[in-house]
Amino acid sequence: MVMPNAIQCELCPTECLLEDYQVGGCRTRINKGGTLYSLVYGKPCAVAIDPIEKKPFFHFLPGTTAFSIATAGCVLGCKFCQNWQISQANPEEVDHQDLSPEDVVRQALYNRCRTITYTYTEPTVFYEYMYDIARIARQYGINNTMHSCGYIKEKPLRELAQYLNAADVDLKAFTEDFYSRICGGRLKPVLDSLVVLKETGVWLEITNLVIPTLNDDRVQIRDMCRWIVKNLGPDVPLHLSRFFPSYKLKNLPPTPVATLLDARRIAMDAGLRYVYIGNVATGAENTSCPKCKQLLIERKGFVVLRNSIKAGKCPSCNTKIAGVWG
Amino acid sequence: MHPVQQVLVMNDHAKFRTTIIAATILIIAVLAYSVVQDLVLPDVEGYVQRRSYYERTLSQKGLSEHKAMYWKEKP
Repeated sequence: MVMPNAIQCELCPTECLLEDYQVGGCRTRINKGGTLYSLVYGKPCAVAIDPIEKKPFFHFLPGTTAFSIATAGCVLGCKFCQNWQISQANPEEVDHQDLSPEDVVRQALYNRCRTITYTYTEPTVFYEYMYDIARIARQYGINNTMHSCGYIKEKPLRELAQYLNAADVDLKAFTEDFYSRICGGRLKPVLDSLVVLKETGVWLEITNLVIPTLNDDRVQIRDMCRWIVKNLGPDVPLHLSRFFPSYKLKNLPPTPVATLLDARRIAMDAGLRYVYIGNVATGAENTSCPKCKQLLIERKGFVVLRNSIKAGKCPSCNTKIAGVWG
Repeated sequence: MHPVQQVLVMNDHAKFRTTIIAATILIIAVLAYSVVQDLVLPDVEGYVQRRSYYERTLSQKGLSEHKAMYWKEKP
């Protein structure tokens, strides 16, 4: 029996049906008297200035800084979450500060950040806050980027995309079974979000955390990369990240470097032009020209040591390098 | 026999009718309680718990209550 005042949240594909005074699965939205409210608007629990490479964005304004914010909560419940202390916590359980959208933009300007990034947890859970910041930031010439799991419905995503400059989406695996068992979600809406972001002209990069025994199957990686090439194009950078035991998956070992190198080769064989390995130093964090193989951006961790891209092109063979450079 | 006592003494037909009515009321009451227990009480109990958590905890933690956005087309 559904009580009066029940409402359905339309933000993410979970579509929580919330009764009076019930909080959604994301922990951040409450139904009060038949109206839905955000509990985390203007209440970030994490604020920091990071290199844009940490998000990770390798083809979006390299060498610049990003004013990064997050609130508590997440739309998924990944067992391997690296930020579970805040993503899997209720807003009332974590310390937060008061920071209005105007204050966020003011601080980004003061700290000379060219970008505001919505990251650490899942920015979808603080959608209204992100949306208002993004609108103001746009007026002041600051870029908006987000690191998201892509688990958001099409309408809110399209509305947000008009103010987004770039998005890094976690494509956590390429099977519904993985999303269901390990993340508590579905794969299809994530793939749909990727297509929408590409359609709307948002610069897109993809991160895939390679977890031993769970999503490191070579066929699965090949299929994922082929899907990316077919539906998003070969110029979308793919970040293959090394897994370290965390949260509810402490029983698994870190991803062997050989597995990551093999996955990178599979991705490049599938047609992807820019494939990077993250969370471990392998040399596969540099950008090279896909045509003449000239080293264009040399990185060490999150630091850009050298960037020789000129006007978005390779200085050696004049090939256009996909990305946002200036 | 006093006239009032005469009224209170029931014949077999009256006894049978009274028993049937009482049994019917009992059955309806048991069924109604079962329905209420399964469908209504959990909702009421859940509402009381949620409301109580909101009043005692959520509203005391300085969280925002910013109106959320909707995307459904208006009829």
